[in-house]
Amino acid sequence: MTQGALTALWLLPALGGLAALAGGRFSRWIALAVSLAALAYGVWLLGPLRTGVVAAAPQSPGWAFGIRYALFCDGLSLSLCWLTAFLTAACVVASWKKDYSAGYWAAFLFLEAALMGVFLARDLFLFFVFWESVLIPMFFIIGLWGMEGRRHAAMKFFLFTFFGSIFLLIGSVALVTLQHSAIGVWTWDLAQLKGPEGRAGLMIFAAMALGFAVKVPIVPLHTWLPDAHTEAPAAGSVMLAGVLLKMGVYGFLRVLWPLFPRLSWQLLPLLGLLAGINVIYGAFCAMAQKDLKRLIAYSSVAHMGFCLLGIVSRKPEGLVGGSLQLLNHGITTGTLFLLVGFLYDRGHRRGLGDYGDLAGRAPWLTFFFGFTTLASVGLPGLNGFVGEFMSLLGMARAWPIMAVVGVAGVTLAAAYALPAFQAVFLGAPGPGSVSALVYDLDAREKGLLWVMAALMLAIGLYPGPLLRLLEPCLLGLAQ
Amino acid sequence: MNGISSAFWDLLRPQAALAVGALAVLAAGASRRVSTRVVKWLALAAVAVALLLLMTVRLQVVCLPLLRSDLLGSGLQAVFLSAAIPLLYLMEPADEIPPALVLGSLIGMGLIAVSGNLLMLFIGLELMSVPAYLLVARSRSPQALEASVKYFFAGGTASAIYLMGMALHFRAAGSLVLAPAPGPAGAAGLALMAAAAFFKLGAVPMHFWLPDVYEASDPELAGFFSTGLKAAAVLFLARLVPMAAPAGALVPALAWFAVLTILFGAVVALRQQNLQRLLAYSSISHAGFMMLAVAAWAKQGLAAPAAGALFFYLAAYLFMSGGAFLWLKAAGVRTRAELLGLAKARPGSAAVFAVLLLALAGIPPTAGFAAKFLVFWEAFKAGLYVPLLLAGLGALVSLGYYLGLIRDMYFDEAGPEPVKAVGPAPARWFALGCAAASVLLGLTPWLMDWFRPGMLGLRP
Repeated sequence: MTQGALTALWLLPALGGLAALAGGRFSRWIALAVSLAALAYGVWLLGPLRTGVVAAAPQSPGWAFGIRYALFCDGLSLSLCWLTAFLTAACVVASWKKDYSAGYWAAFLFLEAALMGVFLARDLFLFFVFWESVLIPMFFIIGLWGMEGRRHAAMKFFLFTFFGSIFLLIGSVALVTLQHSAIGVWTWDLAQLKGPEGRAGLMIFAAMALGFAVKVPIVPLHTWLPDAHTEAPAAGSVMLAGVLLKMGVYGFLRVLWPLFPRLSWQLLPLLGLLAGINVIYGAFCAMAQKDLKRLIAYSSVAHMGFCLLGIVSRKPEGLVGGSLQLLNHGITTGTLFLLVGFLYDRGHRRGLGDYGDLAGRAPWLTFFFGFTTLASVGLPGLNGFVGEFMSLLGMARAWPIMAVVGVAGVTLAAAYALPAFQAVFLGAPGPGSVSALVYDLDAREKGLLWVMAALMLAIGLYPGPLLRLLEPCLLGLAQ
Repeated sequence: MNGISSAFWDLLRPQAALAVGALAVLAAGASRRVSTRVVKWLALAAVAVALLLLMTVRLQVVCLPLLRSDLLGSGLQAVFLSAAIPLLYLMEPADEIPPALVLGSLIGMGLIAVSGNLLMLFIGLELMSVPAYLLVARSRSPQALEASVKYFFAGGTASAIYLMGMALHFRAAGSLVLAPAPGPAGAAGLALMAAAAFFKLGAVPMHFWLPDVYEASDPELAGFFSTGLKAAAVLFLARLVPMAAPAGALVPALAWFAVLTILFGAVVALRQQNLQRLLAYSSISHAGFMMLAVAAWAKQGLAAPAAGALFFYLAAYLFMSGGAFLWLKAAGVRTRAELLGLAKARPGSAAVFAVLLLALAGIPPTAGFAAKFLVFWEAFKAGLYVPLLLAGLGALVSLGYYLGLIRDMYFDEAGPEPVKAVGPAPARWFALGCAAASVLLGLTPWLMDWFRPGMLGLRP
């Protein structure tokens, strides 16, 4: 797999974005075609990856201080690229009937391009540039097409992430400079960088981890998340929860673990504790929510805690399970946000108390919501179970108490998700209920959701191929 | 006169072209038959010739009794001259005086760039500043005269402080060359001269004149002040820094004043309603980043690559800030309230401003990011860890108003004061060019390398 083949993966949506911007009323068609093409191309790349032709170290001359344009790809990168492309296509289909301007469709393609860049970058500087570029389209998606509080939420989202990014940048600069003074070579190549030992290493680790932690988000840096997810348009929430949160965990896996193999293992008590707090705190916050979108947003905090539990454990099953959980959460929570979006399109409310007894009026909506909720809480046979189980298994071997905390979190997940489902779909409608406005899903929506549901079932019943794809690139990180 | 080598005249060639141009402009203006349009083009031609002549100046360090030339000086001269092009093109002078004043100011900046002597530096400083006071006075705004007087007194104070410092320095060192002077008198002299440089740069706490002047000036003039004049002031400061004894003694003070300037400018800009005033405070904040770059440069023993970061920052800033002021001219917008909902009414225009604002904020992949990154990098290498962190927080604060302006344009409905006027078409093209340049320069920072090999010293 050459650099060019990988460049095409992010350049395709970027150019598609420009085309969509100029495309006028054909923008949504361009967006659909490009996002599907990117997905197909991403899947096709599996072939070259299987045959082991992974991008060799690039020989291109850098511009300064060893900064190079260099991409690479392994199972983890590729599967996250699939997730990005798939959810982008899903977002386009989901918002197909909306009367949005060309900028909306272009913004999703630009977002896709920047996200692909993050997952493919091999050069730390390039990684940072893509990392920051993600903010611009997302800022506009929230701010232009969001809900009532969109202006505030867009600013909050950008400022919080930028705050973390400053530390990430300073940490990277420190890392590269110290490496240069140690070995006399300027390099930003993630494969060649090694974190320093001692106090300097700890400080660099802390700075970079802060940058990633805002994105995950790790409690107490999560406060941007509920606002951004709630105020974004439905498709924006899908991308936020489905892919943007994964960037943080990906940063830990791809950057921090290889750079600081010893230090990150020594910090297990701290990192594990933070992950445990995420699981419990997110679940309790979700329980207290009266707004469906906010509830799912807090459930994301809890779910990202499971991913962290897995990857922090540094056991093979934990690493693979945590990574698989990234994909699972992308699909299930993405679907939940899509469903809430469909519901909102009909009733124009998001409150748990605004609906009731929808099962009779909208059986398909009820079916898909129930199915996805079960996948989200980790019902065996569906995708969430595999990832959570493996993550907890890894943690049980590394630090059993935290695994117990995680199991408690699984129970709590049922305790917030099922009552919410019950209130909206099964319970009696309260006064002022808008259930009468809700009609069932149409063919387009149903088709999209069938694909999502099929994926949840497929990963839940037969996760083997995905696990085999993820395993080779993660086993090296195991302790 | 053979004692003064040909190198002396070589270095003054661009300034000579400007002087000839200024005389030609004045002579043409004296004749009734020549229109101000011709005068304008004469002035532009003089700047173009000066730019060409600048290319012929050999890129090496030359030290003469009065003059010196080095890479930073030549590079920044290109910045001054380029900054004057949109100003000369867009100004609508009633007579020949304003173009001649701009050329005069450019001569002063050029002299700062090549001066190797404190007296020469002073001459350059005065020659640069006096036309600037008059240009402010001739702006259209009702506060122009008041601002001009304020500018004049602040500038006069700076000159007086500088002269006092120079006198102390002369007493301690017995000469006016740019070299350290011994003893407390030498240190006091340097401190006074540095304070004068802070005045010119608009560094906190000597910034008080700057927002008034930028607000009262015509936008294209404010753009010139914020790019050309600011670059000259940075160079002025950079010339003084090596005079510290022991070397690098100024660094801690410089770094902390830089942080103060960054944070103050960023915080105060948050509350501004007038856009020129907002950009003025933003320019104060950016001046702080440049001071940090100067401090890092000094800390690293005035090594060439560190100066490259400073040069890149100024070049990027030329497009970002110059472009923003030119956009104000093009769009005819003066206050934040007029920005509300602008993206719906004029999508193209709003997009140009949004790009410029993102560049000023330092978001990748723009030149603003590359510039900030290089400064952070040099500051880290110089070991200025805490100032670096605080500068990063300053960048975060500044995001509050840059993004806030984008939010106003894009996420809000049109307010009670929609924009009526639209500026001249050429201003639009200049703003568009600046926006394009601030993206291209960020994507391909080595473009700068092509202009003058080794200028940046970036290649490892």
